[in-house]
Amino acid sequence: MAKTAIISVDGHVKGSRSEYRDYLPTKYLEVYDEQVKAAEEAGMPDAGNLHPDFAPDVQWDSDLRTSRLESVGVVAEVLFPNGQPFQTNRLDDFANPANLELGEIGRQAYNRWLVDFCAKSPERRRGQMVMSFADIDLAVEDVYWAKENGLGGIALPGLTRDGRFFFDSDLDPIWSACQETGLAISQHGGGIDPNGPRGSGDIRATAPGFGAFMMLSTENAFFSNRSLWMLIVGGVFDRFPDLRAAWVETQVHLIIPTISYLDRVCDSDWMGQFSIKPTIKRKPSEYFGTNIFVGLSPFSPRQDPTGDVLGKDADGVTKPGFHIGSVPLMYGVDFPHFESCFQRNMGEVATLVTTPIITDDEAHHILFDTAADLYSFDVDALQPDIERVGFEVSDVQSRPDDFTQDLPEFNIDHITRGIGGFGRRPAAATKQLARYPDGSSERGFGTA
Amino acid sequence: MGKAAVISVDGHVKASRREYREYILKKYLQAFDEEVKAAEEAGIPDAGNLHPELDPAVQWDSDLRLQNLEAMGVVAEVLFPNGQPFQMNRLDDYPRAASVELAEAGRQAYNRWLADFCARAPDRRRGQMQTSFLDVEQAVRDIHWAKDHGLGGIMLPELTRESRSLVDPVLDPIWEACQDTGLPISAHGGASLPDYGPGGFAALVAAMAENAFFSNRSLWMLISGGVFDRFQDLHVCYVETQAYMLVAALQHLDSMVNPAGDWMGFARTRNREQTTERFASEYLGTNVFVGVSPFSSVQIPMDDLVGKDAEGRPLPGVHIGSDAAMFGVDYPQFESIFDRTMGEVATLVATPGVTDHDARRILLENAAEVYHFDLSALQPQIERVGFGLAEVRADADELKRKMSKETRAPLMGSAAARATASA
Repeated sequence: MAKTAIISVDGHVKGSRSEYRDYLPTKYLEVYDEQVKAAEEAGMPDAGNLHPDFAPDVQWDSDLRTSRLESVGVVAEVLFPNGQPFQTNRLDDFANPANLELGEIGRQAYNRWLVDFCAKSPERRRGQMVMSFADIDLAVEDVYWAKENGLGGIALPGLTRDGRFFFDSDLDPIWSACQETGLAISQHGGGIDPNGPRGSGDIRATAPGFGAFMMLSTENAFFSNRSLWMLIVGGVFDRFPDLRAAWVETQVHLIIPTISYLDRVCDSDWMGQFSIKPTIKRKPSEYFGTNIFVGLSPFSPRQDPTGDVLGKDADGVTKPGFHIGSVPLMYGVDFPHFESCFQRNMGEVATLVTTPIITDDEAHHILFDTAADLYSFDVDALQPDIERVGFEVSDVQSRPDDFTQDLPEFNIDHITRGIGGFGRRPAAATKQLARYPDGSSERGFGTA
Repeated sequence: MGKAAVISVDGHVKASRREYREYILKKYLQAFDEEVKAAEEAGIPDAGNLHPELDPAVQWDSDLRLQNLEAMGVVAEVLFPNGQPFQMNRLDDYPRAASVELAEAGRQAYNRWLADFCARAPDRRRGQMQTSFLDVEQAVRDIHWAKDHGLGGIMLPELTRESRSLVDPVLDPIWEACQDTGLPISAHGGASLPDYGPGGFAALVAAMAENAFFSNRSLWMLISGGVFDRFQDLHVCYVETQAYMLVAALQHLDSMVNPAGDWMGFARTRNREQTTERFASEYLGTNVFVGVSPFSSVQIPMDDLVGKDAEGRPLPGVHIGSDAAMFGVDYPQFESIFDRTMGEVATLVATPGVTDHDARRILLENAAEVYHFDLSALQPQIERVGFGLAEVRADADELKRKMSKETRAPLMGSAAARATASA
C-alpha cells in the first residue's frame, strides 16, 4: 500500500510580538506597545502554551514549523491560536482580553496574520478563523471573509456570560454561511463556565492548589463539549444537513456517556411526560460521521482509558451502546503545546496501527483521510509531500518497537482492571514513544 | 434473616400554604398572604413537583404519607423540600425567591416546619436542613441548629455566581461542623441549572444533559479539594444526580491522577502537585455515597451498579458498588417510582450476582448508617411493612410484571385508590 502521513487537526500558532504589530490598526499601537513592554520587563516569554523543549519560533516560523512537523510524519495541519494580541490569559486557547474592544481588535489582527501565515504554505495549512458570535451579522460577514481569504474553517467561540446557547435559532445565519461556503466548524477544548461560581471562570489565573487544577481539567471536558449536544438537540444538523463540525481536544471520555444518555432520553417516554416530542430527525449518536467529527488530541490511548472510543473489545467484538468508532475520528498532535504528543508521535502511530482491532483502512482514515475530506485538503497536491515525509503502515507494523521505546509506563491497571487504551489489554500497552523517522533525538527539538 | 424494607433517601415534603403561615415571621406575613392570594387566584395548586394522580396532602400529612410509603415497602425516608415560602420556581427542588431576604425568610420557615414534621415520626424521617454557604459563620450556626432540632443532615446549597468554589478552604468550618455534629451532606439533583430560555425540545434536553454535570459538580470539587482528607469522617451523598455522570467523573479523575499520566506532569509544572491521598473512586463508600433515585435499571443497569457480573465476579472499571449505593423513591414527584417500588426492588434482588448482603446494603443499611437511622428501633416497623428477600426473589417475575402500566394497581393516595377504598 502507498505511503500515508498525518494530518494533525490540532496545531497552535501565533505571530511574534513584533510581527503582530504589523497587523494592528495605528490607533491601538500605543496600548499594544505598552503591553508588550510590560510583558518583556516581567520576563514573560513570547509564547502561549509552549512545551519547554520547543523554541518560540515554531509558533510563527513557517519553514521551521513545517520541517519539525515533517520529522514526525505530519504533512499538514489544522490551526488554532496560541495567543492573540491583548490576550491577558497567556496560556489559554480562548483569549480573555482586558475589554471587549481590545478583544475584537486582537481577534481581527490574529485572523489577518493567520491568513498570511497559511498563504505561505496553502496546501498544508487550514487556519481556523477565530470568531465572535456577539454580533450575528458580523459573524456571517466573517465566515465569508474567511472563505475569500483562504482560511479553512471557523473556530467556534466559547459560551459567554448570559450569551446565546448554541441551540438558539438566532444563530442560523451563521450555520447557513458555513454550509454555503463549505467551511467546517471546529470546537477546540478549553471552554470554561461562563456563569459559574466565583473562581471558576478565571480559576487558572487565580485559584491555588491541586483542587482548582483538577476542577479545570475535569470541567474542561464539559464546557468544551456543550456545543456538541446543543447543536444536536437544537436541530442545527437537520436544518443544515451539509454542515460539518469537529470537536478537537474536547476529551472523548465525556462525549460517549453523554451521547449514550441522550440516545436513551430520546428513546424513552420522558419526552412524553413533558408533552414534548423530539424535533430532531435522528438519534443524537446518528449525526456522528456525517455531521460530527472528533479530533482526538493529543492522540493517545491515554484519552481512552476505558477502551470505549472504538467500541470494540480486545477480540474485536463490538460493544453494546454508542461509541465514536473510527469513522468520525481524526488525529491531533497539539504542536507545540505542553501536552503535545509530538515527542512520541510515531510511537502513538505505532500503537494505533498495531492495535489488533484496528484495520489498516481504519488507521488510514484516522491518520489522514477523514481530516483531508472535512477540511478540504487537496490530496493530489499533497501527494509529493506525503511520499517524502510519510510512512508505510505495513513498515511501522513490522517494527513497532523501533517507534515505541523509552516511553513512560502507561499503567492503567489500577483504573480499569480491564480493557483500556483502544481495546488493548494494559500489559500490551506499557511501552510507547519515541524515535522519529529522521533519527533525531527526542530532546531539544526546535531549540534554535 | 429478618425482613428487609426500603429506606428511601429521596422524599420531598412541604407544608400546606396555611400551615407555612404559622412558621413565618410576622414581618413577612403580609408578603406571604399576598403571594398565596395571587397563586390561588391563578389556580396554581398547593404543590411543588407532584405526580398528577397524587393528593397534595401527601406532601404534609404525616400519617397519610407514612401509610402510603408503608404500602410500598418503605419504612423510612430522607426528606428534601417540595416548595418553600416565597419560592418562585414552583416545580424546582432548589428554591429561588425574589430577594435574598425573602429567600432567607422562606428557608428558615421551611426548616422550622421540617423539624416539627420530622418530630411526628422521629425514627422514620431524616429531614435535610436548607442552608446557605454565602455566610460561612451563619452556615456553621445553621448546622448546629439542625443538630439541636433533630434534623438529620444538610442539603448542599446550589452553586451560583455568588458562591465560592467548593475547593476553597475558606469553607472548612462548614465541613468541620458537619463532621463534629455527625450530620451528612446531601447534594440533590437539579442544582445550578442555567436558564435555558423558552421551553421546547432543545432547552429541555440540554437541561437534562447538563443537569447531570451541574448536580454532580461538587463531587470533584470536594475530592480534588482534599476535603475528605482533611475531614475524614465527612459523609456526602449524591441523590438523584444521575449515576452515569458520577461514574464517568470518578473514572476520569482516577485516570488523571495516574502519576505516569499527562495531567500530573502538567500539574507539576504549575506547582499544583497532587495533594489528595487516594484515587477518587476510593472515596466511594467511605465518604461518598450515591442515592440512585428514582431507583431504576433505566438510570443504571443493576450489574453496573454493584460492579459484578452474573457469576459475582468484579466488572472492570469504576462502579458505585453495594457499599455506597442507596435507594431513592422520589415520592411524590412526577418521576417517582412509587407505584412500582417493589418491582424495582425485585429487579435489584433478582439480579444474578447481587447477594442478600448487597441488597440489604442498598435497600436500607447504607442509608441507616449514613443518615443515622436506628435500625433496632425500626425493626418492629420493618417486620410489619417489609418483605423477605427470598420471597421477593421467588416472586420477582410477578413483581416486575406489575411494573408495566397496564397491570399496576391504582396509585396509592390517588383518587382512584380512594374511590376503591371507600366503596
